[in-house]
Amino acid sequence: MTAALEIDDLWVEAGDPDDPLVLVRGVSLTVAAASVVGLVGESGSGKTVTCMASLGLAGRGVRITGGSVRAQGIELVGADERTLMRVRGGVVGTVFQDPLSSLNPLQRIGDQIAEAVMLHHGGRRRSHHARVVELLAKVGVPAPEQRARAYPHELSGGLRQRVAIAMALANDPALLVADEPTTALDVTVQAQVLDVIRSATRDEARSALIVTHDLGLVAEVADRVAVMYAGQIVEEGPVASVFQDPQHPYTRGLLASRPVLAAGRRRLGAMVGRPPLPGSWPAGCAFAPRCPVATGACGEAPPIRTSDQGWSRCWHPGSGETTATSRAEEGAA
Amino acid sequence: MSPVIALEGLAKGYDIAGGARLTAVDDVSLTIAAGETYALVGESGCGKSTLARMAAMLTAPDAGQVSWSGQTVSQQRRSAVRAVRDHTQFVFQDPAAALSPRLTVEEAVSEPLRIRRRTGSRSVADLLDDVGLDRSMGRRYPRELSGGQRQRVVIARALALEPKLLVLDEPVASLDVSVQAQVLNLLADLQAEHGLAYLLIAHDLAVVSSVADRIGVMYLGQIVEEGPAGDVVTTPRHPYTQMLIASVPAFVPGERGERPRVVGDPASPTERRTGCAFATRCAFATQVCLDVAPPRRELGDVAVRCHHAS
Ligand SMILES: Nc1ncnc2c1ncn2[C@@H]1O[C@H](COP(=O)(O)OP(=O)(O)OP(=O)(O)O)[C@@H](O)[C@H]1O
Ligand SMILES: Nc1ncnc2c1ncn2[C@@H]1O[C@H](COP(=O)(O)OP(=O)(O)OP(=O)(O)O)[C@@H](O)[C@H]1O
Ligand code: SF4
Ligand SMILES: [Mg+2]
Ligand SMILES: [Mg+2]
Repeated sequence: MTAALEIDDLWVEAGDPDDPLVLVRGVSLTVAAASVVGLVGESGSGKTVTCMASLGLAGRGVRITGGSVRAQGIELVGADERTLMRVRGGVVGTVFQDPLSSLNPLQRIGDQIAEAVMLHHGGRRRSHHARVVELLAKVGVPAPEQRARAYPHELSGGLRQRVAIAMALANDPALLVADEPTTALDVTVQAQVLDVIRSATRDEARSALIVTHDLGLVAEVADRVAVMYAGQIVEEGPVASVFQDPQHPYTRGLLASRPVLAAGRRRLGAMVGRPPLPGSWPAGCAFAPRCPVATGACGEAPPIRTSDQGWSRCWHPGSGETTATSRAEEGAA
Repeated sequence: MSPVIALEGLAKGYDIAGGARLTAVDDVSLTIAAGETYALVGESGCGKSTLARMAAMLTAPDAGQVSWSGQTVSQQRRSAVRAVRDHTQFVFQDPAAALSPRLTVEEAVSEPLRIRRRTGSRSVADLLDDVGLDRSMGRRYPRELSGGQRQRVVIARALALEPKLLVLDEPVASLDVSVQAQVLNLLADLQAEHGLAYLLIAHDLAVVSSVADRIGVMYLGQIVEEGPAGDVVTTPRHPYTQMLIASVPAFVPGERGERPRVVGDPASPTERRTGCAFATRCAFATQVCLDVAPPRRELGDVAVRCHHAS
């Protein structure tokens, strides 16, 4: 069966071609048919650039320099704008970090959704009214008939994101690409948007690539998870095994820095430092300067180690203890 | 301690398409002291941002009063309103929209001072240091920054005017966990250093519980439960607060999709209603809940608007 999305050794850079700024280096990621993949990682790791470039939406000055991206078997790297337009909003529905960026502030939301449907199905705006109301109801917008006539600024953030999801689903795409779909929503709405995403994927055999910083969301909706750091994927595998037994120290740090619900003001366990900027990625393992278990070996590019049904990119993969042992051994050697 | 800001009986409504009237904020009172973090939580559209805009005097209330350092601020006195606006700075949930694409980081951070022809006590380089940004980022444009980097720029810019109150409207919602932790710790440090009052609007109760002194839970324009943060998260009294607490993902590996389902949607804010606004979703609702709006009641340190809370 054709994978919904196959990214193979994708390289993306920006700036002067003679002195480029590399943003994404050799990302490979597969979203199998009817499966949901979560892409997580710190701010600036290249998650959005990976998604946007894959869909031919890289901004000005950003270009793909290598690799291939296939959506439902259709090659997107080097494809003409007509092909890309047909894929986006047709085969692939997109929901971005900022719902306002996909909504026109001057147009009623119902008309905007109708136009998304028209783009691929033709017909008149009015003839799609029933579909518009159906889509709004599907994503849980209360009083959909009435809300269809609202302008984006009249809606709160949570409703706007549901409208953005309704637009993404307008043409029943095989793959949903969502960049931070629940970010900035309150918990009950998150729980409901999660239900919307779950029913739009699992229940309708639709695939999804979900970019998020919310590990809770990944735990609940994704089958597999890919962890990104400094333009590379550092760990990939089934959600259950990655969360229970993270192989990469960065994955362990991410899992440990989640705040918990408890009484009393307190400092949060932040990972030290901040992720390096593109252009100043350390040689070898880019995580080494922040890594609690780094050794001299980490100055060299780490090998890919496969484990279970996943893989990681680390000299000292495995549990913290094993790694501490290997460090002690290295120190003794 | 005298409060930095006190809101009393604030209300705001909007006329919307179709001739209906929407109640955004309905009779809200609260105070925030210097160095204190007051967190507002509640579902999308319940009126949190509208309330914050009224506190900053960017939106005029239909009813109620705003006081700063014990003095009621008249909406009519332009100079007083302008002073309040300078004392209040915002950090929004969407840093992309808050920054002009045409200004570099340096220009954005110094912009508020430039507009008011003032010199701040801290240089742009200091401000960037304060928020943990590399000085070399000063010459970049917002599009060259990631979300987390942009939010730090917004915080640095907010600090330039040395405000007394920071309204943090979902300040870390778009950030990943490790940066979230750093920004929240940063905000706590800045608060301790400058005695800032924070009005924090956030949906993530796990985050809120770790940074707030007080929590106000809002539902359809009203504060339905308010009290010390520890009390609200450990012994929620209002059925709505209980539902919010239950929605926090337990995040036990392997326990996927096991969280309790959230029941229903909020009633439309345009609906005329008698009784408790939450009654349509409440598992404990009785006839009195449908007929009579629950008054604010004190239960120890906590105030609740619910007939049956105890
Ligand atoms: N046009 C550009 N020119 C130069 N650098 C860029 C450009 N666009 C993005 N970058 C840089 O590329 C890196 C990756 O950005 P990207 O937006 O993909 O991060 P992200 O992983 O999505 O982060 P976040 O979680 O904050 O959204 C960032 O460091 C950003 O500053
Ligand atoms: N200018 C306006 N015209 C009409 N309705 C408005 C306007 N501004 C806000 N509203 C409505 O007022 C209510 C409260 O909005 P507000 O933005 O304060 O909610 P919120 O709690 O901040 O929501 P969110 O968490 O989504 O940001 C909503 O129903 C919103 O649609
Ligand atoms: S007043 Fe009644 S309906 Fe409202 S929250 Fe309390 S029990 Fe539920
Ligand atoms: Mg992003
Ligand atoms: Mg708001």
